[in-house]
Amino acid sequence: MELISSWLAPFMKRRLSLFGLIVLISVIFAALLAPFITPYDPLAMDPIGRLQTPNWQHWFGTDHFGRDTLSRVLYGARLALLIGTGVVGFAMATGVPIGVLSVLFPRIGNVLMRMVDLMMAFPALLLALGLIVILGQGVTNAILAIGVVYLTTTARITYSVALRLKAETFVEAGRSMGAGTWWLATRHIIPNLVSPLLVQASFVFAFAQLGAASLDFLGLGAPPDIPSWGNMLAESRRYITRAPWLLFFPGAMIVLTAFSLNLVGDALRDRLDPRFRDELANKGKP
Amino acid sequence: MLYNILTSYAMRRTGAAAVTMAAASVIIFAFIHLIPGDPTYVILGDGATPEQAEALRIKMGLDKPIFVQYVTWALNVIQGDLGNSLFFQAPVLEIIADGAETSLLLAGLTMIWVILIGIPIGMLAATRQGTTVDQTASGLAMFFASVPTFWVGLYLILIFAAWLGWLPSSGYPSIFEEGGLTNLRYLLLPSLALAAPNAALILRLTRASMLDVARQDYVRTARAKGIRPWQVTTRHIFRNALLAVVAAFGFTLAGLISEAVVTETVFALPGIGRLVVQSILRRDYPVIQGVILIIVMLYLVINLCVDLINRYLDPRVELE
Amino acid sequence: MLSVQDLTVSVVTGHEPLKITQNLSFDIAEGEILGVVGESGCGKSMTSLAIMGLLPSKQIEVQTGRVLLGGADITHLAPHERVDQGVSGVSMIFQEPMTSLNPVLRVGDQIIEALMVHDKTNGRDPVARTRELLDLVHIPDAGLQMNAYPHELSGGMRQRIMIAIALACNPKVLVADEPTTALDVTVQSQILSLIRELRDELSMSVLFITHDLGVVAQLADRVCVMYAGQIVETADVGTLFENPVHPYTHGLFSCLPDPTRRSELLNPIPGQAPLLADIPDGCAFAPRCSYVSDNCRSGAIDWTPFEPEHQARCHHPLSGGLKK
Repeated sequence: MELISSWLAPFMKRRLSLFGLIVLISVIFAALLAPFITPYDPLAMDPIGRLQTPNWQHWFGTDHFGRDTLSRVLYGARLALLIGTGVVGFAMATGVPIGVLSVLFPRIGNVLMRMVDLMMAFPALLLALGLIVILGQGVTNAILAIGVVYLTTTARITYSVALRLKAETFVEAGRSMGAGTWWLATRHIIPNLVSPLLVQASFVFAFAQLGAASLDFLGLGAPPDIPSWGNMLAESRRYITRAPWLLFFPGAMIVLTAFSLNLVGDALRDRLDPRFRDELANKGKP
Repeated sequence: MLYNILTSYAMRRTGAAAVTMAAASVIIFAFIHLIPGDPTYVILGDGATPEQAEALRIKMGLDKPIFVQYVTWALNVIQGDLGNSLFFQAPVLEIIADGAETSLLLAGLTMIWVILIGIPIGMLAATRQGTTVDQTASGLAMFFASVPTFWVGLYLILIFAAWLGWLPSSGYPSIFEEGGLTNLRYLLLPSLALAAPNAALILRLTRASMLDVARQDYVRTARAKGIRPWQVTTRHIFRNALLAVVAAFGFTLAGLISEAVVTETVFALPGIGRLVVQSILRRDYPVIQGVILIIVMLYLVINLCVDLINRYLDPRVELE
Repeated sequence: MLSVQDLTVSVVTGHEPLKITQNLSFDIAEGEILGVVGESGCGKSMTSLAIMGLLPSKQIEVQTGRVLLGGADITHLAPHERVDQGVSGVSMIFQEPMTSLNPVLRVGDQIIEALMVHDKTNGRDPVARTRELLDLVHIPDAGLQMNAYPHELSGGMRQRIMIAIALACNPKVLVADEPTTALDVTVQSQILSLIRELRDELSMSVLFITHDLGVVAQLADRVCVMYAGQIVETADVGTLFENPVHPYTHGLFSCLPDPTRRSELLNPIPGQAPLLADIPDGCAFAPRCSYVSDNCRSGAIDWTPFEPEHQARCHHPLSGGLKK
C-alpha cells in the first residue's frame, strides 16, 4: 500500500500531473470499452447523413462517408493503445536485453552498441519509413518499424544505467562475496532498471502515438478501412474548410494522449529524483 | 596551441563520422535487396517478362557477386552518380537537388523560430522558477511537445490560409524566381508548424539546463563576488547551460529533416521530404535509396559540426 | 571587526521553522583567526553562508539576530547589495575547489570580474593587479596561468585562485569553509600557511571553519566549538587544547586515536547528533552527556566563564584537563 502511495505522491503534488493521469486513464478506459459504448458502427456509412456538424445524434459529427466521428475516434483509441503497447513491448523486449548483455559481457557489448549507434545514424522517421518500405504497410509493420526506432534509445538507456550500476560499490560488494554474473543481473541490475525504464516507457508510448499518426497520415501505416486517428486526419484534409470538426477531434485525441503520457512520464521521473524522494521521506516529520 | 588541439580532435571526429557513413552506406545499399522478392521484379513490377527481368538484371549488374555490386555502387556514389529515377528517367542526384532549396530553407527558417522562441522563454522560465510565468511556459511547452506537426500545420492552413487568407497554403515558388524573397512567405506556415514541437523541447531543455547549472558551486562563487544578479545569470549560468542546449541542436536539426517529410506533404512543398513519400508510394527505389543516403550524410555532418562547436564552447572536452 | 549577535538561521517549511543555528554569538577582532570546530551538520556552513548573505534558498533565512561588519549591519543584504552600500568587506572561500570555479572562463577573467566590482575607483590596470594577486597567493608563472582554464589546474592551485578572487574583493574578513578538507595533506599545509601569511601582511580577520582539530591547532588564535547549532565552548587555542571543559569538547579530544596506546579501544562519543527536527530543549548535548542532570534538559544554559577568553555553556564543566 505504501508503495502505491509513494508512486502516487508526485501526482498529488502538481495538478497538471494529476490531470495527465486522469486523462490517460480515461483514454485507456474508452479504448477498452469501445465496442460497448460506441453509439454507431465505426464503419457504417450513411451517404445521406454526410458531413454533419456535431449534433445530438452525432456528438462529434460525421465524415464525408457519413460515418460517426465519435465512434471512429473511440475505435481509434483502441488502435492507438494497441500500437503504443506493441511499440513499447517490442522496444523493451529487444532493447533491454541488448543493453544488459552489453554491460555484462563487454566484448559482445562493444559490437552490439556499435550496431545500435549505427541504427541511430538514421533519423527516426526515416528509419521507420525505410523499414515500412521493406516490410510493407500495415499496423503490425508500423509497430515493428517504430519499435525498431525506439529499440535503439531503450538499449542506450539500459546500457548507460546498467553501466553505472555495475560500477556502483554494491555490485563490487556482491562480487566480492562470490556472486555470479547471472545472480548480479537478476538481483541487482534489473530491479534498479525498473524505475528509469518505466519513465522511458511512458515517453516511448507518447512518441509512438505521434509516429504512428504520422505514418497513418502519409498512408503508410494502418490501411484506410481501419479507423485510426492519423487516417482520419488524412481524410479530413479535403474537407477542412467545410468540416473543421473532422480535423479537430482526431487530432485533439492524439494530442491529449501524447500530452497525458508526457505528463505522467515527467511525474514518474520526478519520483525518481533522489531529492524529491527525500521530501517524500520527510513528509511525516514536523 | 588551441588550434592544434582543435584540428586533431576535428580530424578524429571526422574520421569516426566517415566510418559510420561507410557502415550506413552498406545498409542503404542492401536496402533494395532486403525487399522481399527479386529486385528486378520489385522494380519492374509483377507483370514483367523473364526476358525483361534478365535484361534489367544484367544492366544493373545484379548478376555479379554482392561485394562487387556494393563497390561499384559506392564508387558511383562518390563520383556523384546515384543512379536514375525509375519514375522520372533522370539522375537521382538531379531530382534531389531540385528539392534541396525548399527543404534547406524550410529547415533554416524553422531553426530560427526554434532558437528565437525556445531559448529566451526557457531562460525566462528558469529565472522565474515556480512562478505563474514558469508554470504557464512549462505547461505550454509540454503541450506543444505533444502535438503532431501535421495537425498544427493543418490548423495553420485552416486559420491563416482558408479563413483569413493572409498566407498561401501550399506550394513554393523558388526565391530565385519571380517574387524573390517574398516567396519565403510560402514557408512561413510550414516552418511554424515544424517549429512548434521543437521549440517546446528546446525551451524545456534550456530551462532544465539553467536550473541544473544554477545549483552548481561556481554560481555561488560568482554571487559571492558581489556582481549583479543579471551578470550571474548571463555570464555564469546561461553560458554553461548553453552547452547542453547546443548539443541538442544537432539532434533537433537532424530530427527536423525527417519531420519535414510530413510537413512538406501537408503543405505540398516541392522538397526532399515530399519526394521521399512520393517515391515510396511510386516504388521508385533508386530515389528512396539516394535520398536516405543524402539525408544520413547530412545528419552525420550536422552532428559532427555540433560536436566541434561544442568542443569550442566547452574547454573541458578532453581528447580521448 | 566582525560581530555575530544572536544569530538564528532557520529553515522555513510549511510547519514550524527548523532552527539550524540557535542564538549564535561570537566576535572576531581585526587580524584575528577564529576557528570554528564542529561535526558535519552542526550548522557551521550555514553560519558562514549567513554571514556572507549567500543563504541557498528562499526557505532558509535569518530569523533573528544580526551580523555586523565594523559596526554596520549587513545581515539581510546579498553580496551585490553590500557592494552598493559600501559594506562589502567579507569574502569567502569554499570547500570544493574542483567545482567552485566557472569551467568555461579563464581563471584570470574570473579574478578580473571580482576586481571590476570592488576596485572600480582605483584605476589600476586590472591585468596588472591580477598578476599581483596571483603572486600574492604564490601561483608561479602568473602571466601564463592567468589564461588557464580551471580544469587545467590542480586542486591546490584552484584553491589559491579562489583565495585570489576573495582577495580581489578587498576583504576585511575572510570566511573559509573547510577550504583544505578536499586537498592532500601536503597541499593543505601550504594553503594554511598562505592564509596565515595573508593575515600577517594584510591584517585580515579570518573565520576558519573545519572539523579537523589538527588544522585548528595549526592555524587558529581562538576557537569556538559548535554542536547542533549552538556554540558550547570558546577559548584561546592553547587553552582549549590543554583544558577543554565542555563534555562535548572533551569527548572530541578523547575520540582522537592515540598512536602510543595501540591496544586500547577507541573512545567514540556515544549516540548521534540530533536531526534538525529533534533538537532538544536546554543543552543540545544532554542526551549524549555522561554528566547530565535534570537542569541540563530545559531552559537556556548560561555561559560559565573560566579564565578570560575561556567560557563554556555547561552546568557541569570538567576540570583537570585531558587525561594523559
